[in-house]
Amino acid sequence: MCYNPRAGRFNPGLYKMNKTLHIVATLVAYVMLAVAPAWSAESSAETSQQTSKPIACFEDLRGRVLAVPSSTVQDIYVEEHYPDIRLDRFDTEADMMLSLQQEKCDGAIMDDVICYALVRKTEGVTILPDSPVPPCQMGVVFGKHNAELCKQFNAFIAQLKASGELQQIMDRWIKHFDTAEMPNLPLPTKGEPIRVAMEPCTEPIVFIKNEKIAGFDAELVQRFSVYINRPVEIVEMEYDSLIASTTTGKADMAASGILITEERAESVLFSDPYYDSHSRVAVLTKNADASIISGNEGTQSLGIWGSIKRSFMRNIIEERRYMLLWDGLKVTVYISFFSALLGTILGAFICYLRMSSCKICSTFARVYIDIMRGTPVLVLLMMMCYVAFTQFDNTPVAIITFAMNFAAYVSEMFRTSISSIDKGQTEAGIALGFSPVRTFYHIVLPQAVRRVLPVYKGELISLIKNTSIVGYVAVADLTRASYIIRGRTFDPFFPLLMVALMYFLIAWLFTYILDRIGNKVC
Amino acid sequence: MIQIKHLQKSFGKIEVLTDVNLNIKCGEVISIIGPSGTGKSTFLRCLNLLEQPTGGSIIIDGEEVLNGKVNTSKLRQKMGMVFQSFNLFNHLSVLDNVCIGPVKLKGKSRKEAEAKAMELLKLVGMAEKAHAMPDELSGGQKQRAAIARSLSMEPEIILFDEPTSALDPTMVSEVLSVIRALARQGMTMAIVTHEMSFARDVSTRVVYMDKGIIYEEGTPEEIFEHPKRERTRVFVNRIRDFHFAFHSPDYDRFLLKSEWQAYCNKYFLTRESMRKAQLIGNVLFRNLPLDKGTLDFYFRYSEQTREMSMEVLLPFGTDEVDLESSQIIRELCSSVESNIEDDRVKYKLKLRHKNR
Ligand SMILES: Nc1ncnc2c1ncn2[C@@H]1O[C@H](COP(=O)(O)OP(=O)(O)OP(=O)(O)O)[C@@H](O)[C@H]1O
Ligand SMILES: [Mg+2]
Repeated sequence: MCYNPRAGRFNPGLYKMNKTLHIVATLVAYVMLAVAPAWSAESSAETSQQTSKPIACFEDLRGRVLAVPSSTVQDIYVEEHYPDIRLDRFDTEADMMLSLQQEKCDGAIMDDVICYALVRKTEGVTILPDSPVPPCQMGVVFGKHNAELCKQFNAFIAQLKASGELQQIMDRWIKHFDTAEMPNLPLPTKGEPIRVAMEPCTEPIVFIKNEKIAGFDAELVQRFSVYINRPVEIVEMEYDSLIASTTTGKADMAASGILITEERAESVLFSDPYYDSHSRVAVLTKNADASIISGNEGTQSLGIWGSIKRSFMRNIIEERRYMLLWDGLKVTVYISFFSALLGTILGAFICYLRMSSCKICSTFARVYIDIMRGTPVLVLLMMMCYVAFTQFDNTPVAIITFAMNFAAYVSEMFRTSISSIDKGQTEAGIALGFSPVRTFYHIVLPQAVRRVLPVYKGELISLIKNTSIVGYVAVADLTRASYIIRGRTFDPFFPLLMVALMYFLIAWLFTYILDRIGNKVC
Repeated sequence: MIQIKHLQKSFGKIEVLTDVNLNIKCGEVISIIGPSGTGKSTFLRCLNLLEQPTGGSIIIDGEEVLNGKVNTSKLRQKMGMVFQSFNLFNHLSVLDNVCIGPVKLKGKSRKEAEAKAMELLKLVGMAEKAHAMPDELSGGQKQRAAIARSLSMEPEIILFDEPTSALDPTMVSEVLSVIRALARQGMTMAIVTHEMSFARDVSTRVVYMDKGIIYEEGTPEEIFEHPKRERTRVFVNRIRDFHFAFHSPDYDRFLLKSEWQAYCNKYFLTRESMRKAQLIGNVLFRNLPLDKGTLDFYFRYSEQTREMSMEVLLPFGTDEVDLESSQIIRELCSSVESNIEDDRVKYKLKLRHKNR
């Protein structure tokens, strides 16, 4: 911060030590957070066997707690037909699995493709042989104006079905997904590309493997591309935005294991179904009846450090996942930096308008500030990307959005800190012979900067954290990278922790640079 | 050097300076005194155009500065200004405060400016504190640094606006002695001040301002010892009025007594003086015609000289009364004068003063 070394009131050495201590303490806190889940898993593994009746089929779950993905077919069906099963609703299957491992629920019901993959990666979990929920059909989504493309896709699916290839593809990805690879197809490069919206976070449907897109939907799309001889351009986005993107024109089609429902069919076109998705229930092996336990046993306890190391290898090292994090990190830093820079300049300008004696200017600035502060950034971001600037790339639009929001907050900070400088300072400068502008620049500004810096730093940090919502408009930032990794490893915790740590480091780096600049200025 | 003619300044409808005429010659030290709110600060601020005058003319070195053609920044560089509230630049050390002007405005090199600054700081006795920040200084030190800062631009005149009013009494003298030293070196200065004894012995000329005009001016001797005009006298002697109006013989004795008492307490009159004044008062109120209309009574006390006097305005159409026959009045008063003012008989009684 601003201190004058010559004044001798602060001891810079002591100050530095304090700062180091502060950072070390924070890092230790993160490490402890990392150890906590491993430790709790360890200790719960050691607790004695549950005394209640073992689970052999779905009926045995009556009177117990079941985790369901919220507002899905499973959710609605079980609630209606098994009122005596208590439901815990989740957004991701990985979270459901975590809840199961922590014994907060007795079973977790989900789509079979995901269930198989998850259970293979999680120790001490077994799949029940039956499920009462009727199967659902998966289809690819098209905008209503794209009926022609939809027809072509249906013809393509019909051909695959007839030749039995579809069955092969599905078996390969669902039953042997550990070894499944994307086929080496001669992808077309010429012609108008088809834009396909996908959320590559769910194994084995669409996911990132060895930094490349993989999964049965990905394979279908590639095959389709060859079939109609047009290149494919994949647009990554949040699951929630997939269907909408086909109607707003951001994408021509969307595929990510989307289930066909009547509700959705009202606003978009579905292709003919290509897969019947059944539900499966995962339970803890130690609670399951011996008759249903298959061979997948014999994993020994690794100890706390062992399991942390394994999480680290799985989430960071394997398949060079650190590259995903690194790319996300670059995007987050890029967006944060330019938003802050642009926002600060814009904020200074708004502050100038707000403080000007021109009535229209100051009213404009006031209205701008009120609107920007009263609108959630996420809403603003969606409006900018999907309404105002649909034809532009989302990253610069996101930067502009964050800058606009940031500007509103910092302009008020600038204003209060400038007006908090005593008028006598300006008068003394003018009386000495400085022009009003030079007085502002040499006398008022350095003092105002010194005053605004602490609050500005806080705002900057919250800007950095706010950028994590860019995933909603399909920008692959750091948070998004963690989702992708979670979708592959089904580790509910470790990727999040890594990302939290990285945000902390970015914030620390930014404030460090800011302090450096601040020291120079005042 | 500076000629000010018919200077006017109003803030909206309020006219603060009505007609100010003053010539300032090179080497003069002019003290500007006067009651609060009469526009002394406004006058100084008009001089270096911190406030734009609304009328009149200011001619500096033969050049009219109010026609909007002069370079105001250059003009201000020739006039230093020292404020009541110091206004040191808070983000700069004392040395930097003194250097910033020469470096940024006169284009001097940092080294040259620093050498000059140290010289000036020595002059005001602040060389030791050159690297201190303003908020580490006492008020007196801040003001001395501010004086050094205004000197750094090598001005032809320095304007002081109550340089000691914001200071603790213990720090006033250190600042005043710096200003005295400058006066000895022949610096031209205009000083607004409430320090009468300082104004008396430092200035070559004293200007008494009242209600937007220069009411009286002269040498310190003339203004402080023999003020010619009434308001000047009241001001320099710090004469305080007590007024009571009698409407009938049945006036409220207790009200009079308590108000008079409060007045005496406020200006720290001794018990002795108070007793004497009341004795005279009693004689007056007994002998004066209270039943013929309104009678005005004034009691005056000078905080400067501790002299006391009384003034009585008889009701319209009443004749003179014989006051000198009273033993008490003869004993306690040094003089009793009577004259007619606005058709009313007026008595002026001066109380005897021990110290004179
Ligand atoms: N910027 C302004 N706007 C309006 N009125 C002002 C302004 N500055 C001064 N005045 C008015 O002008 C009058 C004279 O003010 P000024 O400060 O010049 O008096 P002063 O003689 O310096 O008094 P003091 O001894 O208290 O400093 C005051 O009545 C004040 O209210
Ligand atoms: Mg004043």
